[in-house]
Amino acid sequence: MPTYKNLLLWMVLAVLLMLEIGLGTAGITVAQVFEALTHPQSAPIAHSTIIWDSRIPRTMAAALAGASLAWSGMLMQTMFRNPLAGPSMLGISSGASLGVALLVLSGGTFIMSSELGYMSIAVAAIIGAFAALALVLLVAERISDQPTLLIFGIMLSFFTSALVDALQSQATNESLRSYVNWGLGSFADCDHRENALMAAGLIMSLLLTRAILPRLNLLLLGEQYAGTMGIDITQTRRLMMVITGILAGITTAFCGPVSFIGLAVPHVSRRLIASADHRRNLLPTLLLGAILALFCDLISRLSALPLNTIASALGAPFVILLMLRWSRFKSMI
Amino acid sequence: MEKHTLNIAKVAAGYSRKPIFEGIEMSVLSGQLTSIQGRNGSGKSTLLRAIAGLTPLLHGSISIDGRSISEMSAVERSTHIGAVWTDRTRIQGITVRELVSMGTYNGAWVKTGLSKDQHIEHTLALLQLTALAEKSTAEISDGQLQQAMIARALAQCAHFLVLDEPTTFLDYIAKEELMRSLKLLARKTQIGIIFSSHDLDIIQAFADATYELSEGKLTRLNTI
Repeated sequence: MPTYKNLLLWMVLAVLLMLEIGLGTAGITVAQVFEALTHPQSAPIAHSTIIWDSRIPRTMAAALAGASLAWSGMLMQTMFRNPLAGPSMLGISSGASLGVALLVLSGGTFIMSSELGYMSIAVAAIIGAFAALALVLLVAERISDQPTLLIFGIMLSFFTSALVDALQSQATNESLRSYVNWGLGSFADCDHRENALMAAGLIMSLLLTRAILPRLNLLLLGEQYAGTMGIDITQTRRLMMVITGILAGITTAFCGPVSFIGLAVPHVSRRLIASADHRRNLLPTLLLGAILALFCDLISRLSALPLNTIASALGAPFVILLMLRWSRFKSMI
Repeated sequence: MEKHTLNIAKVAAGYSRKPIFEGIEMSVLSGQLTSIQGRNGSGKSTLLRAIAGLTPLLHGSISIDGRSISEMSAVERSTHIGAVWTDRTRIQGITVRELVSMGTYNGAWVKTGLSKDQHIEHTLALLQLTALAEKSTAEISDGQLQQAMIARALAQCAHFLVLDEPTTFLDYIAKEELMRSLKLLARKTQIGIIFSSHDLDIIQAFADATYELSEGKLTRLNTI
């Protein structure tokens, strides 16, 4: 990738990071933000708390979640050779949703108020995401046809949605609100510990990605070619699903099911660098994911609208454009 | 140059445990063009997929120089057999050079004694693709894309090449040119080429050995 485009992305990311930390509804001036950042001990405690315990964790969560979702989207699109594949496919997000719904809607609300309760949502989401992933892996061993596997993932999403709907119809108002809040997606509730876990998941996924990076380009030709070029298809598929599961599962657990970033960013990255080469797309995809998530979160904060509302409002026109130019995009993956 | 033999013995393959063909016996020598003809649905593509190790056998064995391909790892198999399928895989965002370099994934290029870049250059030159190396695969003609896909398979340094209806999307001039370059390639590099085709003129003009697959049985027609 040309250095200037790389540099440009880093610069945009830096500006958005500053805006995310600097802007807000609390009426803190730029000078006060700077003071809270550089001298947290001497700055007014309210300012330090807002900056260090609210805005910085939220900013870090947005950047980490955006990067994670974007790379998992890239892997999904390569694996299925389908430009509309994303982390929400394969039932991973819906598995996470079902996990949370089972916990929150079936009477688990009493633990919601405690700190342990909040972590239990994340655990439920991760268990749900990996249960869905395990099911898909099991089916993938029997179905070698990628479109069929994709349809299976979509059907799994429908099925889990039906279960969630059933749970919702029986739930109390309070638990329903908790679930709906999680479902709207937000980076606001992430603290430093959760960010550390998301960072650990991202680093682990990138290390696993390193092991399969040279194989990913070969998969662009499809499995029947990759299979004759020295790639163990079953093992590669398994690894790709595990990486996607870690990235999408952990992110969904802490931030809720955040839509569109995983679908949209890989396309923007490939267009930006005019190449489908995964080695060249890795860094721009991660940076663009972080940029898009920060941008959506910034608008969400300033407009007081939920994150997924903003992401969908931006994402839906993008997907329509994608459909209209389907053939052109299809040939890019 | 080293001689290699691909041997197919009593092979049956198909889907859902139902054989499309059985009792297939065939021997392919390196440096030769072997054709398989047959009607649509006769199982030519399945047989080629079985030879490439993608379709599991229901019975029998396929071996190269006495070693069964089912015992080989994916990497080892790719150093024996390369393949070009009949679908028009055309991806944007990669150049002809990048496409050909994909073939070096198995690492077999080290046995050529050339550097990886030299090996890619050499392979591009073998199929007259040097001038197109930096072009996107989306910008070249069907015939050139077919050549590039073959070059990618050659970059694997395999002893045998499986081509599923290689002339399907080509006009009559491009067909002849491709087959002529394949024949030259087989003689020059001693690679064994197995291709399927409907085109009897092409088969008659270029194949060294001809087989017909019909009603689940393979018959040897002639040796030229």
